[in-house]
Amino acid sequence: METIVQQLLNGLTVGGIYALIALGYTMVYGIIKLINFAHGDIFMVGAFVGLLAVNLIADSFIVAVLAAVVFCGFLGIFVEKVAYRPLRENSPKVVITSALGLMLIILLAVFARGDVAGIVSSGTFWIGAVLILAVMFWLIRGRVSGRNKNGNSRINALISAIGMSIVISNMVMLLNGPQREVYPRLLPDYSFSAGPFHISALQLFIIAVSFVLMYLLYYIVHKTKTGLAMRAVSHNLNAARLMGINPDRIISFTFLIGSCLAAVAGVLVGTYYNIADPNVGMMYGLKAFVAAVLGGIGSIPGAVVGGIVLGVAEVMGVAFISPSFRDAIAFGILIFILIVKPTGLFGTKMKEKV
Amino acid sequence: MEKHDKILELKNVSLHFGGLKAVNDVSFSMGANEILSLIGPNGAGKTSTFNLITGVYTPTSGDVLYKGRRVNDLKPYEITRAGMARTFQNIRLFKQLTVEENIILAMHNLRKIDLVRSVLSTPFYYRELGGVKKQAEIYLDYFGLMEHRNIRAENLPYGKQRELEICRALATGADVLLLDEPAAGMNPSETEQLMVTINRIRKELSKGVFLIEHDMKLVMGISDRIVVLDYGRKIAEGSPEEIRNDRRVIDAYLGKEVEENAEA
Repeated sequence: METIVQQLLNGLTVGGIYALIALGYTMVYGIIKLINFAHGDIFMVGAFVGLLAVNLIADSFIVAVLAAVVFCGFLGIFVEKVAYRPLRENSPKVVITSALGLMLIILLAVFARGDVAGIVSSGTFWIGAVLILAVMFWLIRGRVSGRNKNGNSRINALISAIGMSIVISNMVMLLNGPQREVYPRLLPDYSFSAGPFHISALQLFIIAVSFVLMYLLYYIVHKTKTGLAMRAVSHNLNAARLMGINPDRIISFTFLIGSCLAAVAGVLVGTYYNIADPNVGMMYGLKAFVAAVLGGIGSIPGAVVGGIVLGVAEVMGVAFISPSFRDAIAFGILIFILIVKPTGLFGTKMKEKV
Repeated sequence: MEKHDKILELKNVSLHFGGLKAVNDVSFSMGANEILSLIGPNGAGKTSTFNLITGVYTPTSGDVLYKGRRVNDLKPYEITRAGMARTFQNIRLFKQLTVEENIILAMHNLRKIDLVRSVLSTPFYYRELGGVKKQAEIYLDYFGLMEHRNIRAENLPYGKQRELEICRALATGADVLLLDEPAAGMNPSETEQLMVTINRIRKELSKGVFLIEHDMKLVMGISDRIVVLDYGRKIAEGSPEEIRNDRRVIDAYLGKEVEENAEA
């Protein structure tokens, strides 16, 4: 019994973090029907930016979170602008942009094989990278105003998302090196006993932060003007833009919010496990994706419930079956839910339009 | 025909989809406080014309002028902000939102609240929201939708959904309403009611109404002027009386039926 309660607390901690990341997936999916695979990597960047801020500025949790949130917020908007918006608009420049993106990836791959430190310190690399980014940005800025409906570009956007994920994680490895970094303990971790239970203050804190942020998100989506516009765009983008809503702004805003939540999750994970790992983005991203699907992708309460259920299930599995089953449980749940109820716990039925 | 200032003007507008000329060299104008109808057989290019005006499509050639300003290249949301709002042939409400939310949403651009103040729940947030709700009530009252304001739009009866869509277009603050077949699927008494409402919008709120409609009784009953399209071309323009007696219109589209209808 004691173990169960103890493990429940562990599960809630992990689940709260999954839920924070899953919210980003589900919101973006709700609005543009895209699974943003770069989201997990934004989470990972959040951890590293927090680490960097701690090293540069001050050894404080607040500093780490603020730096991570600001940086990842911009990164999320940037990713949307560079990788998804041109595809949505179906403009002819997509081809050019994609080609340049591919060039960038290849360049990075070539560089990454060599001596990382040497390359990073070489001026040629930086000038090259800045030039490529500048040209891409210029092309996208001057895009033709395509009015095509967002029809056939979904699979392209998905591929673009995977590419973006690779680019981001490799960028971090290039700048930081592929090794894990020790994360400073930003929060005092003392545990106290309540009856037979040992309760960790850090865990309580993480759970509390997760729920406060979820409430904040709920408030934004349901009580503010922008949130109303978000819901409208997700129900019917074409009707929304004829109501005077600029869908691009709402989409940017969605990426901003999702990325900020992921950034906080990144710092929390770093603090909790005392480690920042450039390779962790993909795995956390996938887990959060499972959580979003479990809850019904596109549904905000679904992402919260899905994240918590997944977290608890994983921790219980580790405690009572075997630690090596951790990932198997998560993906087992994904397979199970896709077979039994593909729309997820809170998902709505897909209506076939005739 | 009364004299009006031109609020909306189409100058030699064409829209081509590959070889298909959906709209072909069409010119007409609309007065600020006018009820103008666009009629024509199926596939004549009526909805395409609406899409051109509201920025869904960009004209292949020609100009669309709104209040003397060229609006060809504006995006749909910019057109709405400029002052033209529309409804759709197939109702496009935000079904999962409540009736009131649909209206508040349409007031998006008129609202002066930012996110920070909303999240902090400053007194300004409550004052602003109160003002918006009051304004929404005025619009809802206009269409007799007040009692339904808290139910989800999808649960309204069909006729009410159409009215809500018009109400929502009105709430954007537009000076010109473009109604795409507002009476489609309505029964005769609902259509009757719709005519009264459209007339009230024009008279009491001094808006211009531009409508596409197949219901000849409605078209002939409320229009100041009518523009007739056939195969993307404008074949006639004039008062209901003139259109009714226009040989080309009768040949192309109305046949003898309209005369029977008109007499009835």
